[in-house]
Formats: sequence, C-alpha cells, structure tokens
Amino acid sequence: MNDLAGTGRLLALALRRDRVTVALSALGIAGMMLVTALSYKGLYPTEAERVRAASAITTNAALIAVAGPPHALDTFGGLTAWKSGLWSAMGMALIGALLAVRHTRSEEEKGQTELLLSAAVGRLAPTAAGLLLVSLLSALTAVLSAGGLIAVGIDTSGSLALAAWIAGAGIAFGTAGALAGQLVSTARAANGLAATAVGAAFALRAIGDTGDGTLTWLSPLGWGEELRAYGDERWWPLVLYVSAVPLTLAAVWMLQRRRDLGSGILPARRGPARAAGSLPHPLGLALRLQRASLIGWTLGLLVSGIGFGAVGKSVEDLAQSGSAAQGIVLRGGGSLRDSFFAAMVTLLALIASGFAVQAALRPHADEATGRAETLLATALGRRAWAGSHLLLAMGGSAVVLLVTGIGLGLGDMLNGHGIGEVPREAGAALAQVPAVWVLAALATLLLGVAPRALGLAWGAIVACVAIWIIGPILDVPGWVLDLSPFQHVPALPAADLDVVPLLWLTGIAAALSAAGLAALARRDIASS
Amino acid sequence: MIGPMAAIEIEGLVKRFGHATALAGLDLTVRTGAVHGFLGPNGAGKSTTLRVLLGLLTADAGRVALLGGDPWRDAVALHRRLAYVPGDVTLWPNLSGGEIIDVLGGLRGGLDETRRAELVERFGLDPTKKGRAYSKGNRQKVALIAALACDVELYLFDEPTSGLDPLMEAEFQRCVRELRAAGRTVLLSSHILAEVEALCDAVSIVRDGRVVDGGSLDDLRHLTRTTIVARTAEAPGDLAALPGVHDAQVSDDGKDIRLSVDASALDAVMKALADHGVRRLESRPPTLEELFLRHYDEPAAAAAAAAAHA
Repeated sequence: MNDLAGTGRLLALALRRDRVTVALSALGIAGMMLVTALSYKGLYPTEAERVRAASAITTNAALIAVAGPPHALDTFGGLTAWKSGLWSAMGMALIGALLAVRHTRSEEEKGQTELLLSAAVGRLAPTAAGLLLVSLLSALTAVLSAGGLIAVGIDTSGSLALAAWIAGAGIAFGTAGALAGQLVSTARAANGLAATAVGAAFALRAIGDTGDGTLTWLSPLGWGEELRAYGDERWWPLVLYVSAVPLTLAAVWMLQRRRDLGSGILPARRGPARAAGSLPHPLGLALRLQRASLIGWTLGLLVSGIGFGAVGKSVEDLAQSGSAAQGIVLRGGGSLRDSFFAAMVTLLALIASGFAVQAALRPHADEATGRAETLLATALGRRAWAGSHLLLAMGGSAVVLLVTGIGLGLGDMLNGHGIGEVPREAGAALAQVPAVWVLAALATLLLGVAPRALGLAWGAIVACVAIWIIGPILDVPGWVLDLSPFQHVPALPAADLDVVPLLWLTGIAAALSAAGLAALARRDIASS
Repeated sequence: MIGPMAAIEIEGLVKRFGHATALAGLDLTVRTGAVHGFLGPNGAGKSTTLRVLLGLLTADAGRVALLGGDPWRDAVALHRRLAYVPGDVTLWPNLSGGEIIDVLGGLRGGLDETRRAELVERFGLDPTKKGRAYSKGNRQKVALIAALACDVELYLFDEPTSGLDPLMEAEFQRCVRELRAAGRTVLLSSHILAEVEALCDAVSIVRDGRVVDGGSLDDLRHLTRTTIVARTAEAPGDLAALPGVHDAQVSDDGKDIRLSVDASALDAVMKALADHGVRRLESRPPTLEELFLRHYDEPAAAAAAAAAHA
C-alpha cells in the first residue's frame, strides 16, 4: 500500500482547492432537479393532467432520444426523473471526468505532481485523491438530490434510484477521465477524450432507447435509465457500475505503475523545425493554435448530427400514425418530423457555442500564461490578436454548424430520404450561426471589459441551455426567454426563413465584438 | 528634452495596481548604442517598467518615450524596431520551438535566416521539440533566439539568463557584445550583479519603484565594496584608518578583523594584512541585497536626521 501513501493529505489539498467548485456543482445539479420537480407540481397538480402529459411524451421518440425513456410519468417523481435525470447524470459525468483530469494529468503536466511525488507520497496517491474527490462530489450530489426530492414529498425509493444513477455516472466517468489521463500526455487531449466518451455514451443510449434497447446497455449513462426510477425500480443494473469502475480503476493503476512521470502511453510527437509561411500572421497563428479543437468539435458534432438525423425516422413513423404527440413541446408549426429537426438543430447549435466561446476566449489563455506579453511585444496589435481569434470563433462555428447540418441530413438519408434533406438541414443549422456569434461576441466583450469574469461567457451558454430546456415548462416571463439569442432564430425547417431577426443578431454580435476589442485595446495586459 | 541620442527616456513614471504602487516616479535614460543594466531585487519594478515600455500597461503619470515614440500609442510601429525576451518564457505547448521562433520573428517583421540558423547552432537548441517538452532553460533559449535573430534597433531583456546553464549564459554574453559592436541599444534587466558588470556600459539601480542610483559602470565601482573576514598572527594596527575601509570590526586582541573595503583600497588592505601573517582569509563581493540595503538606509537616515532638526 506504499503506492497510496499520502492519499489522505492530497485529498484534503484537493478539497481545499476545489471546495467552491464541488459545492456549486452539487448544489447546481440537485437544485435543478428540485426546481424541475416543484415546477411540475405547479404545472400538473392533478393526476389526470399528468396522465395526459405522459401520453404525449411516451410516444414521442424525439423526446426519448434527448431525455431518455419515461417511467411512471403520472407521478411527480417520474416526470422529474424523465425531464432532468439523464441531463443531470450527463452533467455529473462531464464534471466528474473533467475534475478527474484536472487532478491527475493536468497537475502532472504543470509539474505539481513532480513536487508532490518528491515528498513521501505514493505513486498512485495523486490519482487516488483525485478520484476520491470525484466520488465525494458524486455522493454529495446524490445525497442532496435525493434529499431535496424526498423532502418535497416525492417517492423515496425512486429518488434513491435517481440519485444512484447520478452518482454512478459521476464515478464511472471520473475513472474514465483518469484513464484518459493515462493514455495521453496533455490535459487538453485527456479532456477531449473524456468528453468524447460522455458524448458517445449519450448517443449510444439515444439510439438504444429509440430502437430495440440493446445499445443502451453499452452506455454507462444508459445503465441508470435501466434502474427505472419511480416505475417499479430494479436495482441490479447497479452491478454494472459496481463492476465497471474497479475494472477501469485496475487499468488506470496498471498504466500508472508502468509509465514515466510526464509521459503518456501514446508517445508525444515532434514538430517541424520551421514554421509554415502562414504561421507568422495573426489569423494563421490563431488557426494553427485552434486547429485541433476546430477539427475535434467538427467531427464530434458531425457524428452527433448523423446520430440525431438517424433518429428522425422513428419520429416520422409516429407522425404517420397520427400520434397525439404532434406539435407538443417542440417549437414550430410544421410537421412533427420538422419540429424534431428544428429542436435538434437548436440543441446542436447550443453545443457548438461551446466551441465559439472557447475559441473567442483563447487570447485569455495567452494572457494568463504570459505568452500575450511576448506576442504583443512584437508588431502584433491587440485588435489583430484578439480579433483573429474571434474571427476564427465565428468562421469556425459557421463551419461546425454547416457540417452538423450536413450530418443531420446524412443521418436522415440513412432512413431512405433523398439527398434533398442535406441542404435543407444544413440551411437550418446555418440559420443558427448568428445566435452562436452573439455568444462568441459576448465572450470577446468580457475579454475586453471584465477579464476577471470570463466565466460569465460560459454562464451565458448554460443560461441559454436552461432557457431552452426548462424555460417552456416553467412559467418564465417572455422577456427572460427573449434574452437567449436562440429564441429569436426561426425554427427551420419547421418554420419559414425570416432573415430580419438573423440580421439583428448579426448586428448585435458585431456591436459587442467592436466594443470588446476597443476595450481590450485600452486596458492593461495582465502579466504572469 | 528627448534628443536623438536617447533610445529610452522616462521621467517621473508612476504605475499603481489598486493600492499598491509599483512605480513611484521612476526616471531612466538609455543612450542609443549603450548596453544599459537595469538592476534591482525582485519586485523592485523592473518588469513593470519594461511592460510600460512595451505598451502593455498604461502609465498613471510621467512621461515615457521609446525610440522617439509613445510606447502606448505607437506600440505596433515601435515593436517592429525592437525585440523583447521575458524573464519567464511560456511557450505554446503544441507548437515546436522552431515554429515559435519563426512566429515571433515573423510578427516582428522578419528575421535574419543566417543568424537564425547560427543561433540555433550556438545555443544547441532542438527546434523540433514541442513547446510543452522544453525545460525552463530551453524555453528561454527559444525566446532568446527569436529575439537575437531579429535585426532591430533595441533589445529589451528581462532577466534573460534565468534557467540557462553557465555555458549558455556565456554564449548570451557573447551575443550581447556582438550587439554592442553593431551599435544596437540593449536594456538588460537583471538581479545578477556579475552579469551586469560584465556587459553594461551604464546601469540604473531600482528599488521600490524608483531609480536610486545609476551612471556609468565606472561610477558604479564605488558600489563594489568587498567584505573581508581575516585572522592574522599579530594585530595589524588600525586598518579602519586606511582610506576606503568601512564598517571595520576588530576583536579585543586585534587579530580577528571584519571590514568592507572599496575596490580602490583593496591592495593597501591586503598588504597590511599580509605584513602581519594571514592565518585565515575570506573575501566576498557585496551582495546586491547589501547594496540595496545601503541605498535604502541612507535616505531613510537622512530623512530621520532632517526630521530631528525640524
């Protein structure tokens, strides 16, 4: 057990560093579930109303693809679990994976692990402490979630099953994040790998849930669905978490013990001795620095697009059977299938804004590390510096969305539709571009005006997602909904194209960008 | 008055960060063609001054002229004429060292290919490694090569040799001498007295955001006071009376001696000691910290005396 020496102290250190993140994550997820439950209490107070809502949902494959299979929707617990269970589990999985990477590979890359291991600290202790932290966070979130739901009078056994799902997802993907950290030698690559795993798990269960269910069993996010919270629970699928985590852990242990500090299992690559001719130019440099991220996001969203497009088939079958679900929840006035695609396009655009914000905030990474000082000491102006990254964020997000739309169309073609669907879905996705630009421009504005509050740029995405998911079910005033740029995009292909709001959004993005760049040109550049 | 001879002219520069005052009326003039040492302990304001010169920070008060221009307003145009090496170099983790040299050189307006190849050779840098894979010293080399391969009027170095091994430090010193021979201006910020002594024509000593002393290197000689601790076979008499001897402490038997001595008087003191049979001898050059303590104490003592008379 020498390999684990010092784990306790390291855990205390990790808790000290991340106590705020941990508390906020746990409260955020538990709070979102509680709000959902309370809002349903207000929305459907009688069982008859719940039964009516349930009949619309249970037959809607599109909703099942994004929210999971419903159980016992005639109960508050069932409604809450359906609306927020999968997304909470996915959020927990992402947080768990990123937190694990932060405490393993990221520390190792920055050299803190070297310092720690020079003390009387075992080789496996940093990883063990990181995963214990993830487990603590997962358990805390589960306890708070279940506690909150039980406190407002929701079924105890079902709430425990829901909580077990969330904790299971957090711990399973936390270990997966640690595994990713063993394979590659940088935190950035490990984060990418872990996030891809979460996305793949979501897609696998989407396909499984809308099909014969086989693929759901391959997805750690799907295992929790199989607990059937609130609809006569079964507990044995927990065995899957209980056995998968130690297996992953064993792999992490094995890799950790046989590799050198700082190295990954996949070898680090060398680079060219000379730069390409385009590199010493602001835009060329921005493109080079963000190339890998752009390719990653594009491929990820292409695959997601194809997956969601393929699911469209089941929606269409429902539409033909004249289901009561038609027109419910999904926006737009067209057919159910078109409404489904409109909703998917919005969802994918919300995800793509992650790329846009990340790319627009990239200058901050230069500033925080001191590279900005070296860069701006050359003949590179500040506007050219940050503007290039913003341009890349905007151009890149247009590319990402175009490819996503093409993916949706291609997925639809798998269902026997013609190639005509491809431009239709691609157009619908491109219509979202101005809304994404607004978020990228907001990030640039913050970069110039409030460089200490850049988290607000990510907060804006979370707010847009929240408005999209829970806005319609909560009795939120219209002006709050209108704060999200995505609310103003015509719901193509279900609605007709209206360019006026798109021009407005583009204008707002341009104004925010100009203000941000002007402010950046005026303020002090932080030194490392 | 900013003449054509001054590459850098700073008067009364003030920079505050919140309540903390980083620069409290700093004056600095760097003559064109000079290698100018900028000496001071950590936190004295050296890097802040350089950042103001680079137009990265706004000045709260004072006048700053760089190559005849305003470093804030004319930042981009001025940066084509200078090259800068920070004290703590961070590289892009996914770009190779060679790429980074080309990027920085290209963004400055182009670098000399022959010189670039020669410098990569001289500093023994492997340019194909990725930024994340370099050690501190090698990161420093990347930034140094990128700067030195540019043919510009002014070179700003902020503790450029931190992390370099002695061989590379010597190589850097050779490079600076070549720059001086070519008539370039160099501002070398450092806390290593030996480095500044070896390279600089003139120095400014900064403490607590002000320049407390400065001048040509010869002017600085008075600062190079050596501390001597010795034991002799017989008491050498009153060494404290010799000109250039300071702070002498002598034991009761007169054989244990501790004193500091100006470089000009070193010879006389050594002779006096040698005549009385040296049993033990330690000599050490003044640490920078001692110099600064003196610069700190003297005005403080003067101020206290003035206050007592008032």
